[in-house]
Amino acid sequence: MAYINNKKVLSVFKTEFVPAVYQEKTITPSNFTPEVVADYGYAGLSKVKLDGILVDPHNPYTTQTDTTTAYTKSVPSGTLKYATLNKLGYMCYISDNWIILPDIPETTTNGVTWKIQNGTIYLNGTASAYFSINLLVYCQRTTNVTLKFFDIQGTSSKSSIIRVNNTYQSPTTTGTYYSEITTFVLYTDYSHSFTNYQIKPMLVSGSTAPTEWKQGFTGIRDSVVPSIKSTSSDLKYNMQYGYYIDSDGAAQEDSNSLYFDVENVKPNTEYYLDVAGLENSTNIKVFCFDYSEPDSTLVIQLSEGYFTTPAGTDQVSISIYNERNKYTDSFIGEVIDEKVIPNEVQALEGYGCGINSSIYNYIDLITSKTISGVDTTKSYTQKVNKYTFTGNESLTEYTRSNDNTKTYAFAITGRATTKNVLFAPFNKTTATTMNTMEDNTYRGATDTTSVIFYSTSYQTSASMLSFLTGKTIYYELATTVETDISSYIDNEYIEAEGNGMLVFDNTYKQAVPSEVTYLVEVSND
Amino acid sequence: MTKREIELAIKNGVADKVYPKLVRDLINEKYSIYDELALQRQRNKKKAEFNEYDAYCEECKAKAKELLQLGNEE
Repeated sequence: MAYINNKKVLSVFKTEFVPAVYQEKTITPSNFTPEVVADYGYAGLSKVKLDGILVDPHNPYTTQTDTTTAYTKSVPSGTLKYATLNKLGYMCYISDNWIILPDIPETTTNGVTWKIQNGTIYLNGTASAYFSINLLVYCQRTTNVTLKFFDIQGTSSKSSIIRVNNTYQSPTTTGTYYSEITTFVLYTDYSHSFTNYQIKPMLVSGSTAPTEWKQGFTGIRDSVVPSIKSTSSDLKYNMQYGYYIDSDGAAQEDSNSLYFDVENVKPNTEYYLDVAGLENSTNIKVFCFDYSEPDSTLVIQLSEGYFTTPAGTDQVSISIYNERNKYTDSFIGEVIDEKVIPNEVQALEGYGCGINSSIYNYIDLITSKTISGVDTTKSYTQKVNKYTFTGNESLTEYTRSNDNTKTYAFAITGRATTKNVLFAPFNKTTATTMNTMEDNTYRGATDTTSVIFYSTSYQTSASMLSFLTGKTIYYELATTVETDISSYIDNEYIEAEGNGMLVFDNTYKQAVPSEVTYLVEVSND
Repeated sequence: MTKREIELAIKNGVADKVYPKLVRDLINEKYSIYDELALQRQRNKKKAEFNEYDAYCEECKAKAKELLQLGNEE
């Protein structure tokens, strides 16, 4: 009995001098490439047709190509060691949930050096006494906003460092806060230490920033994929209620948490932890056990993602504090390979940008192109560029005939005359004339290279330009730019393990377009 | 077989295992299964056509070995 992707196929029979008989059975491994396989040397061999392909018992392998847009991709069971990264693209995502904090220059308070820059809070050092960083967030009365922190890096010796409305929480905790005025405080106390710690506050997706939001704005995240990591699948877990280490160092059962043990863990090794349903999962801790020193248990606090086991680790136990019944499957695998996108490629114009699922920049590692007279199989295709206003631009003013308010246009050299434009602070309008544009909207002109902005809040060229200064607009190029990158990337291969995972790592853990081809062994009984 | 399949087979060290499939694919670029059955049935009556077909099959085997970077062992 033959199997493909664990689905049975009909048995194949060999006969002599009997015309071939095709038996059809529809099984849907939807990513099989249709092809017709005729049989050489065996007249009358029956075949099985599966969704357009004929299963050939003499060919134990087939390819599967994954073209999904994703942050992680599951590697099919039966995959052989080497897969190919055919294409890797990038995408910009508009977020209306960022909290913009004031930039505060680096300063030292009670032994801790800290600063706030671009919405991120940085801390380093050991506190000699209590201090706090108070950040006010003004909300409408009765508006619910849910706060979360991401981009957590470095270490903090205490987890509950956030105080929101008099409740102390870990930065990984998501809570719901509603108040006319909400304060969140980053709190430190005597002997609390930070090592290159950083966190960035945001509203959880789905929260609505109130109109009286003082410290928020809409922004664009563009994806930068510095490396693609391939992981094995070492997941072995026993679902039980979790535990925590109390002040005496004893393990205490916590019925609100879940844990699982991972066996055969190696020391000094990087692993990737992915917890589905992370929005409802908090306070993830990785306990690394060294059985040669049973009293030493290292606790690594995670939000998600990568961690490295310390020397001497024999076993890892992962504890997830979570609301009961909201837990979903998790994955942990050892990082077995990494494909780094070279800095030279990352430095190319527009790297990390993409406007939609068909207009985005990407690298193509299996292409066949001639670029500047040179044949190449490795290229970077740029369809999108970005422009950041400096304040020195010249805006063209237009007066609307219906209400005498003003719109402003800025011509971007090289922009395609399409609607493919992204500008986060305003909504994109569907209106095709300036008279019908809604307040606080923009549109890409389809007859010129201009982008048109309209806001009743900015009715002079100076005020509109002041608003635009420092903000970035992403736009489709009139002419696609191709760059030969074969001198930076010499092959398209990446190691993969069946039932493992590929992680297209980027700052915001957002999905990116990519194409990967695996060679998969067809299992036969 | 596609170029991608051939490259992956070589990279994964299974070129010898996919060799039969590639040979069949190359033969079928010129002869369908029905063509082959007809030639087999009439191999004694149409010797010239059969010999031409047989020679073509041998060319395909050689080409498959070249594409898969295999040696010349049978």
